[in-house]
Parts: sequence; C-alpha cells; structure tokens
Amino acid sequence: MEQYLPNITHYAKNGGDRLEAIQKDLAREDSRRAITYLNHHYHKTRSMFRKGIDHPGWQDPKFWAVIEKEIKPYTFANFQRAANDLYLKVIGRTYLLSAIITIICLAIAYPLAYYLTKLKSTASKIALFIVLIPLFSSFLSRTVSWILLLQPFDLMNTITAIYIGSVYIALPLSVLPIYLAMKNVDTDLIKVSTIAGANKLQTFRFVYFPQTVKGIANSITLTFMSVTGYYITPSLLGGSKGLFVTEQIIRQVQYTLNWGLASALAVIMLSTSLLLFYVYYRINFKGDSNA
Amino acid sequence: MLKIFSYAIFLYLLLPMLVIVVFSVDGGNYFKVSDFEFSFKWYSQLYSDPMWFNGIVTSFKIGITTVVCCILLSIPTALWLNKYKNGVILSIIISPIIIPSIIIGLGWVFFFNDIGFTNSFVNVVIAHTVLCVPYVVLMTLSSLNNYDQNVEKSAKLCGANSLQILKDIQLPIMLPGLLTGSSLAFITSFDEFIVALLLLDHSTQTLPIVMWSYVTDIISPSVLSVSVIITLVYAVLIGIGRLNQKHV
Repeated sequence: MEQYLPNITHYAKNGGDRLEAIQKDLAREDSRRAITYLNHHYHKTRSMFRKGIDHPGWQDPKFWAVIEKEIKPYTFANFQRAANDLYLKVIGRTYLLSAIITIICLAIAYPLAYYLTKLKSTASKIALFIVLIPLFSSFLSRTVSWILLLQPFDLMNTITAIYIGSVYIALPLSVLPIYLAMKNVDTDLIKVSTIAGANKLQTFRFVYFPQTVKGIANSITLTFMSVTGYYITPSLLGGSKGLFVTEQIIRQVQYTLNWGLASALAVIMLSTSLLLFYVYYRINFKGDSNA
Repeated sequence: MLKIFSYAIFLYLLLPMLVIVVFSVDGGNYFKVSDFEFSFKWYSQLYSDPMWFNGIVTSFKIGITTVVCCILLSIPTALWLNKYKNGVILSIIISPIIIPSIIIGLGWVFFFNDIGFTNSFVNVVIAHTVLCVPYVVLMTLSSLNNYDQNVEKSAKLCGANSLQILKDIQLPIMLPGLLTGSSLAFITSFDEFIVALLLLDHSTQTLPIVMWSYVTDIISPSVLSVSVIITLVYAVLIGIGRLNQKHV
C-alpha cells in the first residue's frame, strides 16, 4: 500500500499546483485505491479529494499524521529517495572532497610534524603552540577570517576556498597523531641502519616510516571523519551550494521538513563513520594489550 | 627547504588570527586596510546589542550546565572504567568525538520530537552533555592512571565508608583531570553550532547561532570582536587546564 502514498504527500506538501497534480493522480487506478485505503483511517479523505484544495481537511494535522504514520515505519522509500541521483552525488562529492582535504592535510602534516620533532625544546613548544592556535578560536571565527582573506583574491564561493578553509581547520587534528608517533620513534634503530650501510632513502623507507604508520592511520581516520561532518566552512566559503551531506541534511530538517530523507542521509553517513571508527578502534585498542 | 615549508605553514596558521585581531579594532571602512582607524566601537557594540549579550549569556548558561552534568556523569564512569578496563565501553563513550555531530544532533531531534519534550534549553544541554562527556572521561581516566587500588582497600580496612573514600582519596586524585576535561567540555559546548541549530528555540540562541546570523548576509565586524573575546576565554580555560596538569 505504502508505495502509492509518498506520491500523495509529495503533491500535497509541495503546494503550488498541487490541486492539479492530485486531480491528475485521481485519474489513475492505483491512487483511487490509495484514497479508499486512507478513507478508513481518516473519514474525510474521499470528500477532500473530490472537493479539492478548498476543503478544510487539508489543513487538518490529523490527516497528515495518518499519512505520516502510514508511510513512516515500514518503508525504504527514504533510502530510495536518498539513492536517487542528486543525493548520491552529494554523498559521493562529500567523500571525494573530504578525501582530497585529508590527503592535502597529510601532505602538509607529515613534513611539518617531522620538523617539529627536530626542533629544540623551547622552539618546539612555540611551534606546537602555533600549530594548535586554530583550536583556540571558535569554529565560526576561523571561517570568517578566511572570508576576509579570500575575498580580495576573488576566491570566494569556489572549491578552492573550501579546500583552503577546511585544511586550515583540520590541520591541527592531522598533525598531532603524526607528531606523537614521530616523538616515539626509536632513534637508535636509525643509527643502526645508517651504520649497517643503508642510505637515507632506505632508512626512511624501512626504518623510520614503518614506525610512523600508526600515527598516519590515526591522522587519516580522525581528519576524514571530522571533515565529512563540516557544515559551517563549506556553506560559508563555498557559497551554500549544498556540496556537503551535512548541508543537505540540515536543509531537509529545517526547510523542506523531510525528516525521513534527512535520517536516511544521516544513516548512510553514520555507516561510513562507524566503519572508520572501527578501524580507529582496531588501531588503538586492539593488539595494544601488552603496552 | 623543510624549514621554509614549515614557516610558510606557520604563516598560514597565524594569518587568520592576525586578520581577526586587526579588523576587530578597526573602526574605519568595512575591512579595508587602507583606511584603518583604531577604535573599540565593535567591542562596545557587544554590550549594547541585546542579541549579542543574550547570546553570550545563553552560551555561558548552557556551557556551565553541561559541564556540571558531564562532571557528575564522569566521576562514576571513570572510576568504573579504571577498575574494569573495558575497551568497548570506552570506545562507545568517546565515539561522539569522532562521529559527526550532525548525526548525534539529528538523533536527538527525532527523539525529543517523538516523546514530545520541547524544553529547548534542557534538550540542548542533554545533547551537549553527550558531545562533551568524552573529554571529561578521558582526562579523568588519565589522572587515574597511577591510582593504586590498594589505597582504597586499606582505607576500607581502616573503616572508611565509600563516601569518605570518594571524598578523601578518589576526588583529589581525579581533580586535575576533571578540571582539564571540564575546560575542554566547556569549550566544546561553547563552540557547538550544528546541534544548537537543529534544536533551536528562542531560549537557546547560543553565541555561535548569533554569530551565524551576523555572518550569513554581510559580515558584521562585531563578529570579529566577539571572536577575540572567545579566544581569550579559551586561552584562559586551556591555561587553567595546563596549570593543573603541571602541579601533579
């Protein structure tokens, strides 16, 4: 039954030419059955459809409650809608942009963290403080300052602006795990490998790098997960194009009031988050029991 | 080479903060360096504009209530986790740090809507508590790291009841972690935007929401002055946290 109902709600909720749409729908056999079905639960339904939009029943919240109830619990319609082209594109784009931002962060964070470990103690404290400085201010003000910085260069409302702003916000998160891993690198092993005749590249590839892999993995999962949830930065710097899933979800909750679709999108997001969280859990809590 | 690269990144990280501070004391034309004019008029506007003032008060109210809830929840949780090291429970508790807050916020919106509970202030506090509790639990756990269970046992043998043990042994040990965690929790709640936006009501116009409304059309320079003040508040809070960690 419920497969016909979303059509009716769709027509009725979107206003405008809904009367025409409903009348057109009435001509079809299946919607007549849908109306008969609805009439059992809300006895004015049939006359509402006959008299059209002027009938007071359309304003009755009870009618909409019946429709909501009929649609809500048992259907995958929301997922079907979420799987339609537009929303799939949004989800794909979110993950693509987040992946690119994570890679940029990693490319900056790895050498930067290495530089931090090479500094003397006071200098490294100051440098670490500078790296953490973005965390000292509110999320919104960090983005606002980028608006002011990017406007003169005509970069506002572009993807470049999103990259610059998001990398700025995510960078401390991606530097810290790598820095911590590099701090714990066993320097004696590096000496040993040099004595054993390995060149710099080989030492890096076979001795240094493997010891920082855990930090890199942590950095990637943390950065990626936090970037997929960004809302303020992409919508302010990207010009509210709705590039990120979060923007779409908030739009569905606040303006279109399509809560079903919002939660379908959130569940898709959550499943990836949980997957990544599992990875994070495995890296940090499992196989670490003897530590 | 590495040095130049690192300095460039430092500049990249510092520049926005510099911009905020400079333009927050600029009373001249909107964001033009050429006609810079030193004035504190955007700071005084924070006090005179009721929207800003309400936002600051609301944010403090929500933040402090959240921190109190977090502390009350964290004390037993941290003690329990310290005794029975349970990785699964710990991961569940710290998951809000990692899972995007929109998902948690959306869940709360549906939940409160379904049970018909519409006191927005309480709703925001509950949702924020879930988001902030991981920081307090983690920090408290780290101060309990070298907590000796035998001390507790000997206190018990000497006839102390569990309330005395909590007050005289466990709380003093947990205190540094609780303070650091609380300052982090307060910052998180103070800075939280998405959940507050979803559960929005006239009584929960928190500071980020007010800032958002001043940013979306034309950027009001008072946003920058409020940013500077927020940064100072955060610096003080983080300083408190650091100070405490050093003494122990």
